[in-house]
Amino acid sequence: MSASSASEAAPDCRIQTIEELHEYLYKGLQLEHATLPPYLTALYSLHPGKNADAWHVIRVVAVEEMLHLTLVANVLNAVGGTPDLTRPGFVPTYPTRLPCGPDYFEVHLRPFSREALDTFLKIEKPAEAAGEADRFVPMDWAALGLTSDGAAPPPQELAELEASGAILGLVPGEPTQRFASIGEFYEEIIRGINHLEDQARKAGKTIFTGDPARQVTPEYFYSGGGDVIKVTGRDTAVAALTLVAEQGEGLYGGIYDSQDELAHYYRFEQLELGRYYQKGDDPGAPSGPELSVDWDAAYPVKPDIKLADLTRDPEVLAAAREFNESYATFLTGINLAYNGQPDLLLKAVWEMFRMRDRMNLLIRNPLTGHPGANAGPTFEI
Amino acid sequence: MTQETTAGTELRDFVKFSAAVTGFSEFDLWGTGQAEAYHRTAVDQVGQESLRAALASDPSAAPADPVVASIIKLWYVGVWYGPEQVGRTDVAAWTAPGRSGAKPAVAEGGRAAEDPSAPPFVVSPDAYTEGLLWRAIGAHPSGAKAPGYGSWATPPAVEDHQETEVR
Amino acid sequence: MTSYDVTDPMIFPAGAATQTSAAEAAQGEWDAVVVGGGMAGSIVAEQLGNAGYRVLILEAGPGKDLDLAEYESYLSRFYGAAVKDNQSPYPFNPNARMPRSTDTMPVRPDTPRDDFYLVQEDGYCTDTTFTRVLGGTSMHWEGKALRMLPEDFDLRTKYGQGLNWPLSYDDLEPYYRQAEAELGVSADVEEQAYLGMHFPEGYVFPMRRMPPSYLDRTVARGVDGMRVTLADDDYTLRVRTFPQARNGVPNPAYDGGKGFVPVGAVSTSQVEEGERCQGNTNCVPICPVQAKYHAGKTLTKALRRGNVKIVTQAVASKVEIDERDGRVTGITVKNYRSLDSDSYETYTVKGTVYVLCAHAIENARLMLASDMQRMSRSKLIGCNLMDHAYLLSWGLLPKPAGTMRGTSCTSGITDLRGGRFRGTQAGFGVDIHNDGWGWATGSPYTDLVELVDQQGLRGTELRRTLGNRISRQLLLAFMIDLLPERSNKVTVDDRYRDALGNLKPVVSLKIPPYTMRGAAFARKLAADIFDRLGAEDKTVYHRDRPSAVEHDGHWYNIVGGNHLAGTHIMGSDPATSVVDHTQHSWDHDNLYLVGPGSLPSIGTSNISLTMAALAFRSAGHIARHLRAAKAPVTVRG
Repeated sequence: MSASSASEAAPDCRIQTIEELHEYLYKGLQLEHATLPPYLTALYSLHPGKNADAWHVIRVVAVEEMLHLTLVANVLNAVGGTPDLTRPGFVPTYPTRLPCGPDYFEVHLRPFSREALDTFLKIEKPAEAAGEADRFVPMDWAALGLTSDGAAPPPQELAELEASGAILGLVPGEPTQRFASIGEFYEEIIRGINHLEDQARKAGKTIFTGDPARQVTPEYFYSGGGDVIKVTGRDTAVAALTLVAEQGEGLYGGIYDSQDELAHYYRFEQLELGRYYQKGDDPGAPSGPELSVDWDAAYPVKPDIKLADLTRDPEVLAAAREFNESYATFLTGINLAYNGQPDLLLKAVWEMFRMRDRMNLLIRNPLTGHPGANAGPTFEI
Repeated sequence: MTQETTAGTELRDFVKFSAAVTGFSEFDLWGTGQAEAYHRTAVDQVGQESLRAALASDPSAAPADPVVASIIKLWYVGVWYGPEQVGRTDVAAWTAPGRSGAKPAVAEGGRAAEDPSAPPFVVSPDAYTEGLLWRAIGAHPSGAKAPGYGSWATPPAVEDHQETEVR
Repeated sequence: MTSYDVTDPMIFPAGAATQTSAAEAAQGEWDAVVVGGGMAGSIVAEQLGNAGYRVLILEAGPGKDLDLAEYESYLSRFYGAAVKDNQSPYPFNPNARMPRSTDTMPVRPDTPRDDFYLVQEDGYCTDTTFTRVLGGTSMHWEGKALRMLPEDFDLRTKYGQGLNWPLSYDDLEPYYRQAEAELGVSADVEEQAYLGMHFPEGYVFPMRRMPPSYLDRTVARGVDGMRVTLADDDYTLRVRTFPQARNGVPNPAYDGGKGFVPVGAVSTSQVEEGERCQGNTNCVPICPVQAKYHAGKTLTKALRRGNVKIVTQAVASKVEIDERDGRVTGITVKNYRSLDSDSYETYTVKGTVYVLCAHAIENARLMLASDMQRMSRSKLIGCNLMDHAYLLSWGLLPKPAGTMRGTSCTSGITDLRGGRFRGTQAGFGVDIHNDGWGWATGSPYTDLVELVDQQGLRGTELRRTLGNRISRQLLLAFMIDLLPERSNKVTVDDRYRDALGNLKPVVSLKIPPYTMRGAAFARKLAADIFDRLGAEDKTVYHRDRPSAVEHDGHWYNIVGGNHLAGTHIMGSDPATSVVDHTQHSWDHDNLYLVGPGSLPSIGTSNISLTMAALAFRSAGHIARHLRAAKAPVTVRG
């Protein structure tokens, strides 16, 4: 992510209105949330007591994704927006696609495995330093198999695709382009905030018109690394978005973020390299205690499982439906927390623990007609 | 029919019978992840013959075959109490989590030294945390599956027992 | 040498538990040698290390780093243990054994000598325990962190009972605050200012109080406003939450508005767990997420300083004394190779000062085994052994109250902790147990066996009946004061030795009538409370158990509280006490005995917070002692 500051003239800023900023931030919420189902599926697929190192690494990252969601919501609230986690399509249909440099990659719901870890590393991968010209990549719709001629789909279809979260990282309103990385997406938001705030100040105004009572403050969020930042102005907004971006990939090429939390990419890399990082380590060369991973100690959840796969097991189907309903309830609860009732976030944690128990039940049930495969949460909301 | 599918059928029959006697659905029982381990434990402890006889018994018969009582308790708390320990609350007292102290003194294994019965054992660490008892009482196993900070202040929801809920 | 991240107090330095060998330690000259890596020892070591002194900790427990894998091995051992007593999470270690409540029975001439660690020969036996692993008994403590009442410090003057302290509440108050910060205490000041307990203007606890359980509120509906008369005084009861050394919601007003950052799980890598209690209902014997304070958190800070080292698997076996001046010249340790073998090597480690922090029973045992009673002016080493006498009462509430949820105990009744009645009978606190009747009966497993085997229930009927029954359980635990008595004591006896040849502690503890008068009153109060709640009293006491005590023609079961204290009491006279108000030995100039053994009374508060406050206070005195001892020596011609 290229650094920008308030004093810099916003070069070629794509966010020109407060409505556009709100839309970008909604996309940010969708993006942050989209990684949660894959992380949770992998986490709860682990055999209990067998893979403690992997368990804790994935757990911390999942909790921090919740932090990111909260940080983005704080920014959206601060600029007078209204977070909406209940919009149809907010939860993507899996597999979804995320940008990673020149390529898109697919994010599946999968049990813990080398493939799953590989995807997680891609999700959190530090972006290549991008020049102004490389921040955007032309969309190749044909390569994704979505149109035959490579051009963007017609507006109606495009709107549906965008709403469904099937492809993340598109440039809003410009279907021919997408962001090179998630970092660049947040960079664009920061530029937009700076640009709009500069303009507002010239008119003696500010874009930070949100009700401070809608902010989620640290006492409502705990566990996992990193602290919630209360967003009240430009500095705190930039700090919150910077934390979201760097907690994934590290700060300025280092392995820690500005709150001294090990970045997600490096947390995951520990599982690949079999060793923990500690302070002072360079990327790729952890020197802390050893750890071990048992790649086979996971329940074989059927990848990208859908309710349609469960028709031969009525009890499992009913439980999977019930899970999806409870997941919707969970999102509704969080949404209320982000809309003026921050104390509801504490109760959302209870709901999260209940979902953990429900997911565990699903994941341990063998599937009829799919030898060697188990059920799992479908996240069809 | 191959041996493998015979084994699979026996396991499914074990779970089906267990569902009837425990009051939990087959989905719930598979959901513990313990079906294979419990079936194996029962076979190892009482032998195929006794187990088959127990599974062929009327699930609602009381008093049940002592093997059936062992199977119910196994699903509920993950502990194998041998059929010869039927009714032994003194043995059960020591296997329960929670502070010890007022319980009668026993030697290691939860039984007195002169007791000839085989000591009870926990099938595995996760057999403890997957005990169905905790769900039946609207709680979570002591030391696992935590419900979250402050959740204890809310009224209890005892599963399958809405009529006595305090709201 | 790896440098550790100074910003993260939760990173335990990898290898610290094993990198210093006993042989190496014996070659050095340390400023302070601390025996025991529990709460008192960790606080003293951390404070002296912070002041720049070279500190060696001797730990009898296994040589494993306090990392998450080791901690979770405790948890897994607990899950898999058939007998789930207080010690079930911790590995059996023949070389540094621990008392187990399963062993609570008198040792008779025909008992195999090796069966028990804590030897008791009397008819009454206590099931009290302490733990010998890194972090000590704080690994399994419940985490209640009450201050003692101001009146507890001069019980003799006020009520003609027990002993006065050489310190007052006000002397200790600043150290209580220091301990509340270290342990991370959750409580609200407004609720804790009772019976004379006071706090400086504007003080708030580090974290807000733990929410009371639904069960607490159910009990409060019957208890709040209840009046009792005792020794001509009226008392009005109410249910009040307990201060807890457990992570809750940080109070933004703490420390003049700076707030408080909870210390979560410690490990050798960044794990981000335990910043808040999740309600595992398993404070004893182990908090799964380390939301509860344990001394490993303080030890981690201590060991992160390069000048504090620890030698593990080193059982302090003898305090070496120079007979001429009474000064300690070294601590001899038996450094065993592994938990599976009794082979060991012997080393003597030397320091400028020695600090025994091995808990009440082990401190006394070590000194007695070192023949130090001979040199003691008071002859009180091992005497005045105290522990809270617990009387349990249990009943069945008319409606489900959500039992088995929450921390082990969130609230209780504390109005009878103090008052003029203490002239004739013991005060007590009452715990409302969120974990049901387990402590008393072995519920819920005993209920299961009863319903399945004896009542023949199965299927949904079994499920429903269990839920309805357990969720209505109410257990009140009365924690009753026990005064110092010379005859309640720890001794050693040549007939009883452990695998390393160390003498085992022999304990004789009798429950005196003063305490039993409190127990008898407690029993009646419990019946009244059950009555007001419409609860069916299910309490049964057994006269055939080692915990049975007769009083006034009735039998009671009095169980231990793991609040061992008093074996080297502090006082202002070397003839009647073992240490002075700084926990400095009266008889050995370079020896400090820091821990609950120094408490001259225990009142009605769990001993840990007071022990921690005293450890902070003594650490300052030890630092001053070291400053004086290490001052440039004037060579006389």
